[in-house]
Amino acid sequence: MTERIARLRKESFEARPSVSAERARIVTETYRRHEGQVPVPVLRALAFKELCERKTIYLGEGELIVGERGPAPKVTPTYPELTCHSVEDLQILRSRPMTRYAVDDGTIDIYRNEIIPFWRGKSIRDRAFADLPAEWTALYEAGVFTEFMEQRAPGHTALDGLLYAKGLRAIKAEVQAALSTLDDADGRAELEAMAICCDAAMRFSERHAELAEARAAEEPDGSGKAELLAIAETCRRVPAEAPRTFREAVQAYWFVHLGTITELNGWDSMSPGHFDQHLASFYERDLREGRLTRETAKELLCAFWIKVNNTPAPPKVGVTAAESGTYNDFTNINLGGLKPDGSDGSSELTLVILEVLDELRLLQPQANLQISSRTPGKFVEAAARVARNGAGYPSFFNADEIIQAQLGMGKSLVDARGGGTSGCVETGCFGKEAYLLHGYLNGPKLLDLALNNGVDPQSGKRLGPATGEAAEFSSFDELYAAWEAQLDYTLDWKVRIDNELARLYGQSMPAPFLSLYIADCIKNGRDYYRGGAHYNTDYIQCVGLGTLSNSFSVIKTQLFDTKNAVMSELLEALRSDWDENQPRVALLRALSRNRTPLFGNDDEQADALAVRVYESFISAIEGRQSWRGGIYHADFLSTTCHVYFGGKTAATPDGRRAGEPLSDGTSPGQGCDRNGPTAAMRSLARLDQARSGGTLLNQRFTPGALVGDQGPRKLAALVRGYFAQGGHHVQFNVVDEATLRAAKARPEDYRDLLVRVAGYSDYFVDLDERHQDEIISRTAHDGF
Amino acid sequence: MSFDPELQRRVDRCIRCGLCDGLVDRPESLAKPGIADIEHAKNCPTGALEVIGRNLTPEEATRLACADEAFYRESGGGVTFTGGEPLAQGAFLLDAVRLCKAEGIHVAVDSSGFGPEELVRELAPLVDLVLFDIKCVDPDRHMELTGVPNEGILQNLFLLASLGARVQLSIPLIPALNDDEYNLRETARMAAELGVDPDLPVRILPYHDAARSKYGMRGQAYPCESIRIPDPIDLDRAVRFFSEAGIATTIGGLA
Repeated sequence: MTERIARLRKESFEARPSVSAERARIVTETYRRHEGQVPVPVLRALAFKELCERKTIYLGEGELIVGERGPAPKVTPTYPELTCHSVEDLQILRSRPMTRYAVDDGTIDIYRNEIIPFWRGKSIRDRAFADLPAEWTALYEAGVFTEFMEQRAPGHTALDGLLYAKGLRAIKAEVQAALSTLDDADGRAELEAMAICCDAAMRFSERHAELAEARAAEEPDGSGKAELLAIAETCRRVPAEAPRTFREAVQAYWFVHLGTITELNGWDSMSPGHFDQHLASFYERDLREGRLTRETAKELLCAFWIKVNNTPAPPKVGVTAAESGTYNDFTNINLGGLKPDGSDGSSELTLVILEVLDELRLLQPQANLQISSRTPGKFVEAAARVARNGAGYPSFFNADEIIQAQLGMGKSLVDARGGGTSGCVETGCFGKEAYLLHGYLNGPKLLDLALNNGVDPQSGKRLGPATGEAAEFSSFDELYAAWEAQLDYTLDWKVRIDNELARLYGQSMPAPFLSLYIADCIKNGRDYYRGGAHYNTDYIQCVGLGTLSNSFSVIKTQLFDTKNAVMSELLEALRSDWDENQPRVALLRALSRNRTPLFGNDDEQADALAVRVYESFISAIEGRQSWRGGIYHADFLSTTCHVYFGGKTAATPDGRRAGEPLSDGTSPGQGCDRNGPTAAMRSLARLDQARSGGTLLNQRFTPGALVGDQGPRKLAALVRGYFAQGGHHVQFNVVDEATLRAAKARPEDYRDLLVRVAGYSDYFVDLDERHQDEIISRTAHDGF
Repeated sequence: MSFDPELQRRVDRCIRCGLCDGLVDRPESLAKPGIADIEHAKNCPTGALEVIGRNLTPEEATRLACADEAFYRESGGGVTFTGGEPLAQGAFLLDAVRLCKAEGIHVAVDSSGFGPEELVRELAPLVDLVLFDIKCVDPDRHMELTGVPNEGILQNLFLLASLGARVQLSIPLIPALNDDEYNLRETARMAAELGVDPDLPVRILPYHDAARSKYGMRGQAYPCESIRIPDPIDLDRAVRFFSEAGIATTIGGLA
């Protein structure tokens, strides 16, 4: 890491996130002046134009890549047209213990006097919540599902190679050509909006050039002045024209990225897609022609990394301290993978980026390695070496499976290869698809409902249809059918309202700047949010597969197969929240946890139930129509929602108590996979993973398990072995001392923790105290 | 530890459900469990009582071993038959090894070398690797330490080599029992006579006491209380005897 990068990194790391009202003010003024006078897409484009022309721009000392979303690093704008913070929201933001944002009194005054009076009742969130049906609201408030569009614009955008091949001037010419052949008034308005955005974004980079030139004029001759002039030269060139050099390419991406996240705050804001592939030709040419060295390229990438880290997620509204969330705006960079022609996409630059990731250790952007059968081993091992260092990244994806999944959704082979992963694990086709996430679905909560005839055991309120008294079910299949009926009912409501909200966005919040970079929006004269993209996909994310399938396994095994207990006993045990002071409850819980086949152990019986649940989710979601003309698909990530949902879910038959987290992603229930990492992977491999938009597997190792040259090699073999069986994704936690201490104190929750003992590994909780202490002390020496 | 199923007890896991018919409170039954005790222990729903050791057919063992085949393909790994002493169950071992080879996976046998010559002769061409323990070269001392003679063991070792089997030697290094100069020098000399493939360095396995808790859980006294865990100086010293004989070594098990 160079001295410059160390300093910029420290500044970024130490800057406290804060909120600025500047964007809110500019957008509000634009709406006051133009709303009702111009078509909505043009109104949105004018707001973008005003932002590009008036927003405070920032040029920090020693920067190489320039541009901030807010007026300074780590300052986030707000988006009152989507969700308008109340004064109370802003006060909570600045005082809550977790993920706090500084908000000064001036900002609160601007909100009180200008922003709130204009947007209250008018923002998308206020409009959406104004007339929601009681049935939907009841399900939403009980934690049966979440709704992505209530807080942020629908998202998931990753770009393809377009911006490196074409500047905004050329793109604008395409917009004008499309305008000349289109009669439809709506379409013309959208194209006019896109043209305004081209000019606006060019002006934005030009302002950075002007600022750099002005600063340079004040500098004495020397390297500082030369650097400022180099910034100016770069900003005069991109993104108006296609980049010619590595530096211009990185800066061009960053300006486009900034444009999209200034225009709106789409969920999982923005990703560059296959960043190493897009930059590789610039890197190689610059190296060849002597403009760049490996070290200067790395420094530019570090500078870019810090820029992304400077953009904390815009804070949500109406959110209490307990649900404080994350600063991460989820930029997820794809490395490796396949090129559109099917050849291997990894290169020296892949290794450089992995080094950047490892050395900077910032919250964002994060990166993943897309591994195909063509990916050479050295890249997988290099990524495994970074993962071993314990930051939890990079994550690993099966590029071949991701291509299969996209082919299954009807994409072309070439487009599918250009796709990959964004957000957490979500599959999409970069630069050609609008794939919108609609929210998480709480599978175990639906079992609560099925066990209570549609009534929420926590509130006593009816949430779902009456599917029968559980005590009267004479077979497991009857109970399962009741769960499926609750699932269908819930999805009917979710999709209906999702489509309403999508319509609201499509009609009120088009994204003309983003639409410039997504294939076919220009050609179709139709916005990204209105179905203009070449591919349109809608995802609902199913949560709690492990908790749910284990709960089903308990019911099937203990109630219907062995008849160790009857349904009324189980219901009583759940109502008691697994009160182990009652001997029968304690016994039933022990049977549930230790004498029941559980998902994640390569047990055919348990895994068959997980497959059944997985398929039920997919068939309940798959094929439903979205407002934009796309189709819904099932996705299986949980981010941190399994914790929120757990808090909203009563005790479950798998022995989980009320309030405890659900299983995450498609991982086995916490502590339920007891036959090692390969058995967990074999269980997951039984799911037909290519039929979903993404599965997620977390595995945890101690640092000692991965030491030496052998460690990363074995980790790489584990990953490839899983992918050879159709796995979609895996990521590793390499745990620290704190976790080991917690494992020692609460072994029940850490049954799956493998540790390196001597020349072999063992389960931590199976070791005696002396060995546990010895390993804890060793780990302490591994750290700082 | 024995060839028959054994019982293991962890009282902290017991929820007093009674399904073991009070066995959990009879630690004296743990050391020598009867058939009824084993059945009662199997009822335990918490793991407070656990039956250690189970009977498998060669087919069942093969199925377990091959479950990870997709991972072996990536890692170059495979299955290792270990123990106890795999040569003590010769018919099972031969069947299971043949079945695993038919599945195309790499097969190793980790043995003390104590077993019938005919078995070793039959096994040699089937397996990909034999991990062979040399505990002590002096016949009397070997008898004293292990209770069995070592003549047959050493004959088996040279037989394997003569039949072309890939053999990797290991020496469990136990202070005061087998780390004397004579034993180390003679083991190194014998390794040199046998010939050591540089890809298969002699493994020096330092004694560890990881099994201590298992003895406790089975109601047995730990028999090695007085033994010291080798320190780096001990290991350096042991390595030196081998390097002087021109033999490559590695410390610890397979990484």
